[in-house]
Amino acid sequence: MKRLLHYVKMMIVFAVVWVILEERIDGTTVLMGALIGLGTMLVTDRYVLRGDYQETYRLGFWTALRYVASLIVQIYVAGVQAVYRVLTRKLNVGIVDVKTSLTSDFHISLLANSITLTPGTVTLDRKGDTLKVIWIDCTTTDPEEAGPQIKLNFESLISGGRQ
Amino acid sequence: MINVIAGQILMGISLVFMAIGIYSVLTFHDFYSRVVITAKVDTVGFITLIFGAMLIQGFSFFSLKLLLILVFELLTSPISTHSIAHSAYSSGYTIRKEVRAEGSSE
Repeated sequence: MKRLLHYVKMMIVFAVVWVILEERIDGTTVLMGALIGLGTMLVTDRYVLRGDYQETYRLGFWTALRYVASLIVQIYVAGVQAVYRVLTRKLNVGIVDVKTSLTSDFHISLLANSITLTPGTVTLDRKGDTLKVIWIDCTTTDPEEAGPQIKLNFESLISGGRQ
Repeated sequence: MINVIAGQILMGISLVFMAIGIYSVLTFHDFYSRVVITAKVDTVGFITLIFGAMLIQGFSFFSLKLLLILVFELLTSPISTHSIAHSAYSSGYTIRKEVRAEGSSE
């Protein structure tokens, strides 16, 4: 039952993408998109991703929306800051460890991507719940102190309402 | 008319961002600082460019396609940066201080 619901939801998404790509909105196009989406999902489930991945890659709609909005703001801050650093040549690059409280792999990879996109930091490596991060303005190497400055509020945004 | 001008201004801003990114790649000598700077500047330039094109075009299928491209870019850009930085780290690059020109041997 849950799997059927997931299929229907994904078919709607696929149909919307298909309509956008075809640049035409009528019954045939929508049906075609939904059917192609269904076929893709069946092949994926059968041959590529076996087992229940539906629960692993789940993010609530509003969580995703808030996350993306906050991400775009942070990207602009990052860009302006990077330009400032290029022009003044104030660089103090260092590598720090950051601990995260998120547990699922999917959430940790989202957090790592957000760290890469936000001001002055790029994720290097991950071991368990510890992320290795290059920090362009390395004032401290202490994980406890560096954590909040690097992660900003993305941890609570990603886990938003599910924990 | 006003939206075309605003879109073109946005596109111009994005070109400035990208030009600064290229300048940083050419002038910095430490690999890691290059990676950090280019990862940001590229993404900002790309997003601004897409927004500019969407403004010019207005609400149409073309803008929706651009939105799809934007989502794809947001998903893949940090991954490519991460894989470049990770491969550099695991082959043992160390951090060099930006002091003076010493030939770019990276």
